[in-house]
Amino acid sequence: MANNFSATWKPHQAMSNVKRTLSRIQKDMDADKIITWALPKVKDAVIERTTRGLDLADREFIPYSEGYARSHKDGMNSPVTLVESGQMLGQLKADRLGKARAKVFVRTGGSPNRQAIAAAHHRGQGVPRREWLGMSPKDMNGLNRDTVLHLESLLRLTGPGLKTSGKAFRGTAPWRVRNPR
Amino acid sequence: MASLIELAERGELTFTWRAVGDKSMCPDCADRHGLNGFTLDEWQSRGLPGTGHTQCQGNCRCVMLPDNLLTVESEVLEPFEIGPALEGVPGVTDRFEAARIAINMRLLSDLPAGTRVRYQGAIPQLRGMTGTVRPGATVQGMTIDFDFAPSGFPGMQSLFVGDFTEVIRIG
Repeated sequence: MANNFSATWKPHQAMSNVKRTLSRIQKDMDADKIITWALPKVKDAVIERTTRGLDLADREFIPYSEGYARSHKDGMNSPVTLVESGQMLGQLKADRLGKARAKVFVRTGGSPNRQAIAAAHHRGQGVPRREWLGMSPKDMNGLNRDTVLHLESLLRLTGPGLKTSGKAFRGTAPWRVRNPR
Repeated sequence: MASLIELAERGELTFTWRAVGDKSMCPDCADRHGLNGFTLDEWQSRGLPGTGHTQCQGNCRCVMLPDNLLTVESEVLEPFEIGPALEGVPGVTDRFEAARIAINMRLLSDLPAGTRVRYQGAIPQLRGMTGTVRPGATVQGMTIDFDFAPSGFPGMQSLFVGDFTEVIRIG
């Protein structure tokens, strides 16, 4: 009986395609293209979440005490955004630690030192503990999603190996299944 | 650093399925597009692009991209400590830096003029430099001003104001 099934299954080629893609990404990592692109995203993610009043667990910061809010200018009652003069978040910086590793920190500077104030908020030294310095799981999820889109555009620009255009998905960036880990 | 291929083979990288998104894309690929968080082994059992698990069979143009490529750490300053040499020195207090934001940082004040100190602050070029507290020097908040000894730092012989993390009295 004739088999009309004409498509070819390519299990070995499928795996080598994945590896070829990884090799190309590795080259861009060696060229620092990816981490250089990611650093401002990291910084923006931390600032954006913090100024929305959310901590590293994406919970609202502990409110200011009534006395503190009363003794400060308007808008210091709620939500807590850790912004008064803006200097602490202004000193936030993201730096590369490796090809795919970054760190986020507050630079030293100002009087009192904003790095110390940042640490005091984060550790709850003399003030309610408001853990803010770092990437929340949601921040990382957003960064990972953006990184995938960035990889797509990088790979498309650097050679003919991939045929994807992805144009129809631009702007929607489907990301439907949460990381099971 | 291990290569991405090694990380993938060890199951440390997870992947997302990315479809082409044009009009000839098959419905299976459209359905899988954006699915993420699975290791290469897990994707192999679900079916990689071109392995016959989608309607487009071996003509699949989808790609797998790593979706946990980056790691981000945070660096939080350790709490300040006063060096043992300053314990019990008059003027070294434990006051909160500011009442309205009661941060538990140490405040030095009224160090006697002529006190020899060593800077251990955040400005790397100056770490370990020694200086002498000048007469009438003020210590406010996180800054201390003192004259560096010429031999200690030739380029900066006059008043210096800088952030400190620790000031050690050495004489």
